[in-house]
Amino acid sequence: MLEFIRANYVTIITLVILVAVITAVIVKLIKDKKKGIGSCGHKCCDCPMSGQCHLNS
Amino acid sequence: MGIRIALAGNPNSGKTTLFNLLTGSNQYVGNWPGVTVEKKEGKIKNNQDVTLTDLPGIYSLSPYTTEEIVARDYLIDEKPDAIINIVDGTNLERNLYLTTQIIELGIPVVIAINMMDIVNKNGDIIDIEALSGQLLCPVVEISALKGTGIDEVVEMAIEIAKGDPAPIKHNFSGEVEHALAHIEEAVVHDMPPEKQRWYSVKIFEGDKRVIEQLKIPPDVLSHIREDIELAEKELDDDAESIIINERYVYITKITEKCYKKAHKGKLSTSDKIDRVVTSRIFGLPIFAAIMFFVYYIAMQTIGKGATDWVNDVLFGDWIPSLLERFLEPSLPAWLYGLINDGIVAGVGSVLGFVPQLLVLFVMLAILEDCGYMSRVAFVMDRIFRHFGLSGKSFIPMLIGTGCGVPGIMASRTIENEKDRRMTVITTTFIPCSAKLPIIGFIAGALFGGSGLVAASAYFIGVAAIIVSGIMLKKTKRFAGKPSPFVMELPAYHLPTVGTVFHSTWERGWSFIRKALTIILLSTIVLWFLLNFGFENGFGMVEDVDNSLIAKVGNAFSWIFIPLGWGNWKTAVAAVTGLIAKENVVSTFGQLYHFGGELAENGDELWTALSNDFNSFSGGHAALAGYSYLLFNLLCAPCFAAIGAIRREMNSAKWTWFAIGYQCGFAYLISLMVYQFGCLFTGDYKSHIIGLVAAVVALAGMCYFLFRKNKYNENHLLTK
Repeated sequence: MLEFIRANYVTIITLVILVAVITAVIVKLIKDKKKGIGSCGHKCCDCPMSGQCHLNS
Repeated sequence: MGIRIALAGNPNSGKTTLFNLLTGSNQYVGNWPGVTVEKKEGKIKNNQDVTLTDLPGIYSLSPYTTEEIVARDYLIDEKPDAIINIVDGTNLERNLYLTTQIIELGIPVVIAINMMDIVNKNGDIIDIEALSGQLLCPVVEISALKGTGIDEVVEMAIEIAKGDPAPIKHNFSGEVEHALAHIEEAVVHDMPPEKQRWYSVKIFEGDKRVIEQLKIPPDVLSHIREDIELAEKELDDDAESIIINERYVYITKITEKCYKKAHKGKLSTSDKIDRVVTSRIFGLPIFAAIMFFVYYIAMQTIGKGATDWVNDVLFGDWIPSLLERFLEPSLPAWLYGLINDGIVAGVGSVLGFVPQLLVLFVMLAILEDCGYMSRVAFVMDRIFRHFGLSGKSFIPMLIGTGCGVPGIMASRTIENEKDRRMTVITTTFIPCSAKLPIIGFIAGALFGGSGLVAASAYFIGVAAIIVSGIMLKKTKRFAGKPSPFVMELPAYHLPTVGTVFHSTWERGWSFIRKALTIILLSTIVLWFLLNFGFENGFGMVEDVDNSLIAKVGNAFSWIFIPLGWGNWKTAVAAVTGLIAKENVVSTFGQLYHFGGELAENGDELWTALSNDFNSFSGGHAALAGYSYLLFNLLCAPCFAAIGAIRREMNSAKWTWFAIGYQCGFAYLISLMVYQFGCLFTGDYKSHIIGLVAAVVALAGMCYFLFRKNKYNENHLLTK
């Protein structure tokens, strides 16, 4: 086992970093969705047009 | 308990600039009226006990617009301790109309005369003390842009918040005052004395919301109605007009005593500029020239140099060299391929366009902040109205240049349901920031980075909106008069570094964040679909034509043969654009780095794409490339924007109609461009079926454009 880790530690570290980045991105996207942050990069309440949208809906 | 202060004033008088200065917040500031439509709260920087509320810009306290309702409801229901009334000193008379109403609310008011630097520059004189004496409330000179007089106005507001409201000096004519006295006696005598005046005036005006709110019994209403009718009869006007007229008479008396205009009757600098830039003859050519210049600078000069560096040096040399040196020897081929040919190639090809985008965003922010974009809406309204459209549709398009989602949502400002639906369907024809990499990519690969191609994308977007508007307006579902469009043109001013930087940062960071999240995930999924498939059983493939994505692409790529790019690579890239439009470029980035067969150099990538387009189209690379560009610009937007369309339409049927229309329109335009292009180059024999289809499409479009509008109201009347 140790031999395997020693031989492949760069691959393991790279994979761990890659999985961590992917997980972080997915978590961030879910959190943004829950916070109401749209693809334009901000929440509806920060949008200059938000009053129009929410008053009508 | 803390003190609550409201900021109220006309649109574009500088409320949000003052709010940002006082609270240290970063609310969006735009140099066109109507930027703030919802109230925003913040604590004053050096005094956390004071809460400041930024209200939408309003012209009056009548409930005609959403903004007026929001502001009025807050001032009446929430009862702030004081109001800072921001008055644009360069438009004193018009701004004081709101002031006369705010003073009647029974809340302590301090008047902040903003833009005093411009007033002084114009040589005009406002006698602050005399104005204060006329209105019976404190008046302070400020310049929100330069930050002068700010502390003084806050200190004054805090001081008056602790006291009682100032008495009201303005008296209406005898007939009106007589009716108001009756109203006060009959309806509002139970209210605090300072509130009675405002409610009485509103009842006199026949304000339905106030009458409903007070639940006035019908007999009382009928009684006071007699007094109002008497005043109307004596003054020979309707109640609302009487109040408006008398307010303006009062304002004229005030300004005669405390306002001296240096160049009375003469045109201001803004007026002189507007005579040229909004003129019927020069308005549109100037707009076209400016937009061409903006895209030329962004795509071909400063932007191109920086983008070339990012593509060729950063993502073409430095990062791949580092990966090659440190990771390639130690990693299995598949993992190295995923990182280098998948993530770096995919995300890098999108990020490579950031410099061009930033230059474009800076220039658009300058145009917005100096006040030119408001003029464009005015110029476009004249053109749009000629075709039965409203200039109101141009505001969502203006916002849509950043991102289609808020652009689609901005269509809510259009009251007319039919016009609103049409705007929702057509807004995404304007290239958003996500489509700019596609423009840059195709322009770079097939047109030598021509700024003309980039500018043409913008104008084709505008033309697509006009053409769609004309065609749709002649159908039963969209027929009708265009919504009226009223917009105040703000005075031109030099753009501020802060506002331009803020606007550029917001848009640029949003683009980068998307590349590092959605695009990154997409590149990983695409890498797997591109590298796995069936070659002697399922597994990693050596030939990309055997990949899973190639199989999927081949199943539908034939649809695009008449458009000149019926190949699985281009078809798949176009479809991945539905996730996010940047994905089109990201997909090409990966496709041409497959198996590391290409050095990571922008020029080589572009050469490979150019060669492929040449082979798909039988030697018409530029035509096929332009057809591809148009299809991606005009077809259905990304999923986020489709979601926004669904929310705005509130109907699955209308959403599908929008997607179907956009895709169909994009297909027909691309078909015509490619087929007629081939015809003009003399090569039509091999495309005869496509050419016939293009002729039929053109004939159909001409029919819809030029047929008589049977739903036109004038036409119906003469029938």
